[in-house]
Amino acid sequence: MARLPLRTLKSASRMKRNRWSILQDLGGVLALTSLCIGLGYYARCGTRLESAASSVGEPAAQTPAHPVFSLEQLRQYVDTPGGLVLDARPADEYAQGHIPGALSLPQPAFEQQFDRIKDRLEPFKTTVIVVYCSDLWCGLADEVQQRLAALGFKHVARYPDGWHGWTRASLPIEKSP
Amino acid sequence: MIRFSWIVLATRCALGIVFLYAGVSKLHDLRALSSSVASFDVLPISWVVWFASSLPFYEAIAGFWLLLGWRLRVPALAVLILCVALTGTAAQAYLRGLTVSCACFGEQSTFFKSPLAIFARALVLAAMAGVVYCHVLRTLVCNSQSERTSV
Repeated sequence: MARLPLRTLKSASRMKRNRWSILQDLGGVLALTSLCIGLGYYARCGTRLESAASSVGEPAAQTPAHPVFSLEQLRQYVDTPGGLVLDARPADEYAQGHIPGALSLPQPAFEQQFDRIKDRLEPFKTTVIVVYCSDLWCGLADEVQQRLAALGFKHVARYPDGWHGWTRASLPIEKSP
Repeated sequence: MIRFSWIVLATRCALGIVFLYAGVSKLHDLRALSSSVASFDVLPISWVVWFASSLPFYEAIAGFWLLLGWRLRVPALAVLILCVALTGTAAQAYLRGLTVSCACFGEQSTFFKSPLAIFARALVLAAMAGVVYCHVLRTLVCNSQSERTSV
């Protein structure tokens, strides 16, 4: 009779030990996650610095901070006639879908594309232009923004959430034929 | 029992190699990875960047740690949690009919384009990680029991 409670106690103590082990392991995983977030932050900073370093020496590097558009501001801007939105993603991504009315100005072939749409850009030298690329991580919009500023465009804004931010909000899109 | 230990060892090494390779290959193009993470439509856009920049380190460290074989409980559980999360994420992407890009082994990888394939792979990896973790936990309990018996 006395053996049964003893066995139960042993089993309960084993379960407690197991639970404590799993909690310890979860603590370890949490520590590992924190370390990786730190390393990830360091990697992100490195990539941004690298991107910024590539534009050092250009006049754009000396221009003041450029404005940033929120989703709501961009939506209103797109709805207003007479605005200009530029898509800095590669041409094939633009062809698959873009913000309605946006023109393609991909950073990898900026010069050729700029010459192609130069006439359409000229009237916007002193008014607002919005540039976007795929998402927060994408640095192409930053680069196009800086290059346009260097070419004398006074108010080049950026939409940081980019294409993913726009599609996530289920807003209308346009596809190239 | 001995044969079973060899199976666990092989599973652990396979998991370690897969995760180490996946982590290192993702490090080359963090931008592609962030687009891939965003395509699953699970995290808020502001979290995507944090997750995408941390994931390769998490995978690489966990993979290396598994291969190292020291204090295995933590990397085994870390890999198990990641695989279970990926299984759930792929399942929801499949059910919602999302077009996703895996970028599992960097941008160049052409495998696992469909959510169903990603789901199947994650399920297999989760089962492997589960086997390793349960084995390590059981070994720990057995050891502590035998210690008590000897005392």
